[in-house]
Amino acid sequence: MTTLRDQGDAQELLLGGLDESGARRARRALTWTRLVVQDLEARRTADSPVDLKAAREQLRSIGRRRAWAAAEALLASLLSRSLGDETHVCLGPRERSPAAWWAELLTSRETKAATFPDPAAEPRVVGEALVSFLESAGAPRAPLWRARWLWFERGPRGVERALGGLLRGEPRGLDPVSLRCEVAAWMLERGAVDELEAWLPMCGDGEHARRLRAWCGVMRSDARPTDPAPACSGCPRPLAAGRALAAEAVGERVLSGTHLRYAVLALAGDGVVCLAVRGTSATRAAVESARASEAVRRDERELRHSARPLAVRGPAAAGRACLGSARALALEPVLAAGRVAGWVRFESPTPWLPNTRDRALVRERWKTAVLEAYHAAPMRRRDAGEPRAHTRRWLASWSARLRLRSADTTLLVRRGAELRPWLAEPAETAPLPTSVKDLERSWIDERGRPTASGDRAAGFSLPLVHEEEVLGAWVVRGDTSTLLRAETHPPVAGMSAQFRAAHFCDWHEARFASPVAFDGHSLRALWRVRCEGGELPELRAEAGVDTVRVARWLAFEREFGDRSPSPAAAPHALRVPPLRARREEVAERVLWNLRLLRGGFGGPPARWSDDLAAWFWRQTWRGNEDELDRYCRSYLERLLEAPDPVGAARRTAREFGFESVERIPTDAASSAADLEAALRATASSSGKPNKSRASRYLGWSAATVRARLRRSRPGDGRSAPNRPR
Amino acid sequence: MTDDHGSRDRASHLELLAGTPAEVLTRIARGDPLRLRRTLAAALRARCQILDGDRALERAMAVCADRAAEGRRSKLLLAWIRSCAEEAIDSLLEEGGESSRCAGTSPADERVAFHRFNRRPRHERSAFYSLLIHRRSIDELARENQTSVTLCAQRARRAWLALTLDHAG
Repeated sequence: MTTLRDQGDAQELLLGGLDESGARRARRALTWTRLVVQDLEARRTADSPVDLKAAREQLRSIGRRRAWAAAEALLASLLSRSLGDETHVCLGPRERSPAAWWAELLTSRETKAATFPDPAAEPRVVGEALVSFLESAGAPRAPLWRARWLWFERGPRGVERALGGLLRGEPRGLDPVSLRCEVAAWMLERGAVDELEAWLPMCGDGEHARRLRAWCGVMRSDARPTDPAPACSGCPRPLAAGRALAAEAVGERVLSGTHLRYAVLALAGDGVVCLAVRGTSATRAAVESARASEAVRRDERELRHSARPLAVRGPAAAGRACLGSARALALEPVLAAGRVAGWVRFESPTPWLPNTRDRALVRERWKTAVLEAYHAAPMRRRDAGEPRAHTRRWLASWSARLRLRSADTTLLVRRGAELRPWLAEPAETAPLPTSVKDLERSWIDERGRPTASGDRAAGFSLPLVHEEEVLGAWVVRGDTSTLLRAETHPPVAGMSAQFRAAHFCDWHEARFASPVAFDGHSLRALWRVRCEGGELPELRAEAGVDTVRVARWLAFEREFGDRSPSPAAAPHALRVPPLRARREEVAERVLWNLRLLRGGFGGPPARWSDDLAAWFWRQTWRGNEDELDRYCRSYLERLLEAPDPVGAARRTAREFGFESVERIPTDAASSAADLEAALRATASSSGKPNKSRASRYLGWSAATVRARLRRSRPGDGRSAPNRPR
Repeated sequence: MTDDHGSRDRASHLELLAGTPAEVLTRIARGDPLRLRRTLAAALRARCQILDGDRALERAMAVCADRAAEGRRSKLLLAWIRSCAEEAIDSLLEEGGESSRCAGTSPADERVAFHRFNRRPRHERSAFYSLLIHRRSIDELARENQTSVTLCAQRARRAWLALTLDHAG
């Protein structure tokens, strides 16, 4: 053990590790600290004079602080009364009654010049006067109360923003950590759990922050809370819910017990029926009538579209309740073959909801009843309606591309259970499918391509499907070569999607009285949304215009179908073949990607050439659009370094780990299809094949192309495309 | 009342506390009849905290004047005076704005230094006080606290460095 005998040794030990200047500063600090202490000790009995002026100023300061404290206590009382008992905002302990605080405030020397409204007046008015008093008196916490008072006008989000402004300004006399905790409490107040989770790490590890974290976990409802929510010592009245949560049976009694309020609803026939109501005195009829509200219907449409649970917390839930007042609600879907058959509507008078497991238990309990109601009532099918301008143009466009005479094509639309022609009169040579039932089992193979019917001369029928529902059919009749040319033409899924797009344009004009411009890129983006169940925000990030389009597209789909589609069902109607089977789309997609990415990189525009287009066309793109998109990103980075477009493309391919395809194999079974695709991709605008350009695309010699073309004779199903009839 | 004040002292104290707060302040500031300076020094020593003495005394007197009505009603005058001193210290610590008037030192720097020192844990402040203000032996302190010399030294050092502005406290 070290033995130190004098003060010098002790100081040397304590200052060990400091450099000379640091030790000097420490010694100086010690010297004046000793002086301060000795001064106080030495004069403790001396009759030294006191600065009376300074003491009077201190007395005035105490009076001011007392008046501020009274005003703040009254403000806290008014705000808590307005927020209600189930709030997460902690405004401090209630030490005295409002009457006592009023007495304190009104008798204070500091408020002689101030005027206050009647304490019984409206809280908002009284509070405004108190906040103004704090501001005029220069109270350091006045900005905090001004921010809190915004709750009356702008709600919790308004308070959050104002507090955020205070934090940015480094407020004097306000603790930043407490301010951050308060922002978190207001986030919790409006149920913004995601934002809260991101914010909480900045709130420190104090008592209040721990309590907010516990509440965040409860609100998240991912798991049953195992620990009671810690009580905040500064909070005068732990929440009623907090008291319940702190009880032992936290999950049983509160979250899944008698406090659970829910209604069970099922889609039946053309409407929605309420099967049961629990935990509230509301009747089933009352629930059904409450559903007339647009806000409620919007939630239900969202649920039916997404087929995923929906939860709303905070003030946003107030206008969407069906079972009385609610501060949180959740819709739990019951699915039948991936489609929404009904749902359980949970509503809570508190800001929290039963957790996901409890909700799932209730849903499972009612699933059978919901499915019975769903299957018992037949679904009404809505007529597709008379096709309008866009749909007609679509038909004309495809007829022209396939070089069909108008008499060869017929568009059928559904009228009830039957399909009837609407455009050209049907030819009399062959019977047309006349019912939806016929069409539903008609000729479309697993890859979404039409197959020939038994009577080859009859042509084929392309069902126009919207979310598993046949809206109409496009019947093409003609000779065998017409049929087979059409079969190998760009994907049927694309035709179907474009038909839907045309329908959408018609609907948009009718609904919003404004045309919608549709280009290939947006259409593809919409495909992605529907096929992959993508989320709208991804598109929002790309372009605002697309957001409007997508939002309206979704609205169209909701309105158009009898039943809202589920993402699981969408690919059935929108099956898209692999990209290598749609090579003609590659160039367009690459250009779109490069245009899009160039903005982000700030790089030069890619020099597009036919050689580059040919290179992109030849590649197999086994990862389809995703791989192509990723590739484009890397390609553009590479292009910045080496401005040789094709060379950069090859180098990027090596980085990607795939062999650059410089030549389409001539012995492959698909070489004939590749030849046709190349001829199609390189044809002139008038449709005339360009063999030399096609050979460049294929990587073949011109002689090989000519030989292959000679080999394909009429009647063997491999006639050259675009040959004049 | 278990105070060391006799009934005559009490009567004189009650006279001191009569009237408005401003009148009380004028009386108690003249010659410190309530012996607030001594009470304040003892309280600061017991709490191992450092404040500018003059400012603390002014605040304590102001608190006494403000709470004079309560003092008149109190049967334990010394306890009441101690509570006034404690309240004055608490309010100054809460403000964190105590400024020293020591010559040659910037008041702002001192305010920060005192504030940082006063926010250190009690055992660190206590070690600093014992070793460096009261100049006690570190061995004796370690024995008294039943801890090691190293730990005592570390505690005192942390409090000391909090007073030294260039080092994080």
